[in-house]
Amino acid sequence: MEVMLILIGFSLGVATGFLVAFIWALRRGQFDDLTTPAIRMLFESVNTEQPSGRS
Amino acid sequence: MSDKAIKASERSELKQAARACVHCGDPCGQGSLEQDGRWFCCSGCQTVYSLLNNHGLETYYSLEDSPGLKPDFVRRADRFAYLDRDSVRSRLTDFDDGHTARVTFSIPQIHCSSCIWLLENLHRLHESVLSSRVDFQRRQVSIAFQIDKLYLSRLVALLGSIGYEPEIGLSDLDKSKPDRSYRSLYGRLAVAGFCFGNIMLLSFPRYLGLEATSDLPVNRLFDYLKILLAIPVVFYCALEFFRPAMSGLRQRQLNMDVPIALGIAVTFVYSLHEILGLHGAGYMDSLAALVFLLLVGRLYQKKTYFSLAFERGYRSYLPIAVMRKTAGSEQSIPLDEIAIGDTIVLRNQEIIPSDGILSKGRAQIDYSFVTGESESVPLSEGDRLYAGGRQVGPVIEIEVTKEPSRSYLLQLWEETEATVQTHPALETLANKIGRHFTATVLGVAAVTATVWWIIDPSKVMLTTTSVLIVACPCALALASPFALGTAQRLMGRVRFFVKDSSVVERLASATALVFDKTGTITQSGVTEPEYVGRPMNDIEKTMVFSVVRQSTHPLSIQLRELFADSRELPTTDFSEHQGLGLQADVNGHRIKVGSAEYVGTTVPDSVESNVVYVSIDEIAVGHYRLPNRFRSGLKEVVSELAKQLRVSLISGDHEGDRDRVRGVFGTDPELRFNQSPADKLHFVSSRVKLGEQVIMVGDGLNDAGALKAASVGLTVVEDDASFTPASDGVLSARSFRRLPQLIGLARNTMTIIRISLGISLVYNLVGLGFAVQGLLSPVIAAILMPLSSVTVVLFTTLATGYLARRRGIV
Repeated sequence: MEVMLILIGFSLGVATGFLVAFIWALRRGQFDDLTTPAIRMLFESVNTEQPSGRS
Repeated sequence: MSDKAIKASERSELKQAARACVHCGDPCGQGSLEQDGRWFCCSGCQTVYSLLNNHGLETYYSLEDSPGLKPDFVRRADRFAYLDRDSVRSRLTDFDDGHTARVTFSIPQIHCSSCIWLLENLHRLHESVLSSRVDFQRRQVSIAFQIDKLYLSRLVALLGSIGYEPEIGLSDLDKSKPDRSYRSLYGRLAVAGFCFGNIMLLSFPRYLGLEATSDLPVNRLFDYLKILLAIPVVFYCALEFFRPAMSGLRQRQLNMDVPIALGIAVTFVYSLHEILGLHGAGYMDSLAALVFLLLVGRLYQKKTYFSLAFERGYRSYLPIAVMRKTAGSEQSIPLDEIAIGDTIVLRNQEIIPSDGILSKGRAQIDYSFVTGESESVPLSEGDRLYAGGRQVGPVIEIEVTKEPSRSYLLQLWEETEATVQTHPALETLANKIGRHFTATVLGVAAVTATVWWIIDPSKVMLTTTSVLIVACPCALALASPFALGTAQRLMGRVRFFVKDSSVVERLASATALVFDKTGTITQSGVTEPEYVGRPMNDIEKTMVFSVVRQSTHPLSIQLRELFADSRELPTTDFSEHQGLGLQADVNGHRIKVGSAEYVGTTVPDSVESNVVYVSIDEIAVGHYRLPNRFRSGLKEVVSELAKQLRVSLISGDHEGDRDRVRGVFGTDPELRFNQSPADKLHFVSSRVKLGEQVIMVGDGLNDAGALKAASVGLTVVEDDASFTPASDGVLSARSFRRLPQLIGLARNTMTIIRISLGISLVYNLVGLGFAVQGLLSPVIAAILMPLSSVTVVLFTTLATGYLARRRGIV
């Protein structure tokens, strides 16, 4: 039965970790804008293909 | 050649010449330019191209086809000077320490990935820009820059020079903090989900009936853990329901949140009592499931359309700054600083900021914004001008007679606000039921307590609390958000955006519908002028075009579109006679375009509004009819709507079209013409006072007051991405013909809600049957309560989706 206590504690700990991570991300504003980053992430690859200097 | 054939040949000519501008996508006609093997329709587009090219930003053109917007170079560059005044600057910027500053602009022109890319690479265009970030949904860009090196006015001018001039209205000055309420809702949902899952897990031994065989201390530990997990659910997640319940009670109202909050509180306290007193396992699992599902419902209902501004008032249409003329020099000053007696200068296409008297120049004022009348009014010196009108034509000077805040337009607006506040808010169905429900539940609980007091006083506590727990109107509270939320989402798919889900409910209970005319049931922009008379040859057409081109009269502009492809010939001796017409010499011929008497022909039988006559060398050749074309399917829409609602029409236009409108609307609907914005407002609010639920469908400009006064104000817009007037809902013109279906869907949604209320009532009665007998075990509660919620959620969502599909909305 002791192993059960350890497992319960462990599973709760892991789940709490994820919960805290989610809330942290939420407070950092990572869920404020869900559209633009999805488009923005495509730009980098375009940029590396056509490197252009800053003037 | 018949008229139709003429039009067809003109269109095919247009297609042949169509070489789309690399920058803006417009066809390159006469005067197109070439650079690096790319074609541009005008020098403006080419300038933007070379500017971007010189800064290594040509990627802009490879992300999307012709992403650009035609820059507007015509207006004066120094018109942004007012932005550098401290009073304006400090109110516009989000952060400003004298060296670096951050500012957020609304740029409705943002429409594609190229826009995002260019605006986020602004730092490559100007070294003083530190960084910029686009929020695509809200169509905003937030720019950090060195304000000591790059003035705010220069930054705005820079954006303007690449075609992204920010929209800065008077309302931007009193900026409110961005809405972050969804953050707490997400947080609550996450915590509730976490606790719900774990409490369920810890309850499993009990569900499986293992308490007898398993170790007691472990079960006890599980129970204590459940309490620990339930604490955040009650004291953090359930605040979402406790707060509205409290504020409802304070106003002596029983809203839907009161029975929910009561159920949560009783369940928690009773479970605590059971577990700590070692009587049983409590109902923590049901409690967490309930809160979690209710929060999902809240989220579902909270669908918002960020890019749409539903709260815009007249203030956002007025400019922030005007040009004031003092002792020969012109100065850009903020609107707030205008004083009575000032002389302000107004250029073509600028809006009059405050009431005044025309002191210099000849004005041609387009009051369509205020009155809905589509023809502009000629005025001469000494005439009175009202705020909200738009000058079309040359520069004029105005002597201010009233402060902007006291102008006719704003007073009308404030009058509306006052009316609207007195008119009581419509009670939502859920709240109405919630009120009766709470009373009933409390009654049943009281009866149960009395009966058990007689039978067995020791069981009073158990049975009474079970009644309160099981009667918690979880399913009841879920039915409306899921049904209304689904309806709202499906409506959004056909580009009908409503402000919040209560609008759906109000749409369903409407008894009358009022249409505005101009811009609502008529279509602007796509009007195809109809030519009647002797066919003209190409040279004659070009001559007429060359004359028409000189004028900014709305009818001239409409006519111009017919000749989009024509070359322009030099004109001499041009003169425009306000309200009559224009004339000029082209190629030695005298061309006259205008009203019948001006051109010198006889007026045909019908006195229709928008007819332009043409004569060459004083010989009339024919006339163009520029109809206010009705939207396609209008007749079907009206007859469909008239079956369910009392339909009427109010228009700011003159009666010239009455017969044509009557032809579409049939004999029943009431038609009113020559209505001022105030008339429209009074018409709608008198109907509302008579107890009717009025849907007002307008274009949001001159009928904004009426839209506000109506139970539901809907605006019809040609382009929902860039222009969204204040209203309860925005309907894209493309979906105009679906209006009856959309209102029908709203009605169906309410039926679905009523049915699901019935379903949940059945569950509640079954549960109550167990509870009053004192037989409600945790297992029954754990099965019954989520089951009823899930049934209701599934039923409402699927049924609404099915009905929407049947109505052809999805």
